Amino acid sequence: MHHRVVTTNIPLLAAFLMLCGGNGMGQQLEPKLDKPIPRGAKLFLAPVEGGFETYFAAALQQKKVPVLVVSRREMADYEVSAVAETEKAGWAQIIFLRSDHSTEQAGIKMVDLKTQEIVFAYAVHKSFSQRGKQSAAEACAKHLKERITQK
Amino acid sequence: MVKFTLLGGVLLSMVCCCPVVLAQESIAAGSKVFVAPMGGFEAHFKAALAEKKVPLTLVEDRESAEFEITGAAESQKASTAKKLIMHDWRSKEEASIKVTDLKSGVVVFAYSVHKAASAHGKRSAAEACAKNLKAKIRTK
Repeated sequence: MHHRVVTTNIPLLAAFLMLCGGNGMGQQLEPKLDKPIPRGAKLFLAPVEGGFETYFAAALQQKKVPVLVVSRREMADYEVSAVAETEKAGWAQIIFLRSDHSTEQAGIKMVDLKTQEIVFAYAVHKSFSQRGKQSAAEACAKHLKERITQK
Repeated sequence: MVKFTLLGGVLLSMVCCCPVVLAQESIAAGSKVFVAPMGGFEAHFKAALAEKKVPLTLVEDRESAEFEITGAAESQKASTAKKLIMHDWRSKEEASIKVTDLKSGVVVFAYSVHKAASAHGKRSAAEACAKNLKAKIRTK
């Protein structure tokens, strides 16, 4: 008898779960990646293996991104963490393409330290990078600048 | 009234359109600088500071410094293929430095360099960094 009650309630339970899952218990989930980033925001660049954060700091200056880079996490409004990878040109590339440019890929994400929300993320892949890590860092900085200055 | 509105509009547009120029404070000549380890690149960089006559005082103790220079550098020797096909023996160098004000914790200068065929290896990259740092220094 008890078993029968449970089985008859399964469709109702499934419908309830679908409703809950569908709209997040009635709360609309909004993407946070389009939240505005204010000019003059204080950024902390987390250390990255290979020192990509220094290339990124230089790129921020080069691209005149309106932010302030600080060296202490406590002072910052946002934290930028990154991953970067460099693949050197192989002998085949040098022989057949006569190019010794490296392949670069990097990804950055920017977290609002108050809310812990990711407010910006960008990934770049450069097959024949003219200036190695510098090119990848400048691509990230350029897109961050676009994001900050967008209206 | 119209004049005031126009003036307000002009001022507002100036405030909104002016890019926020941050960390543009220059480094005073004679400032005490600590050069952090950079996998051996710091030795080349210190030599480059002397070579380019950068008016900074290098200190070995971080506590007594006003600024800290950190960075990263990577060197790639010419491969056999590059030597044979491109007839190029020169190495590829990349380096990046950043100067932090130790009191305020603000990064006041950052620079990166990439040399596809460096005539003097790490030395060239270090001298490029030193030259650009020198341009940032405020002389009295």
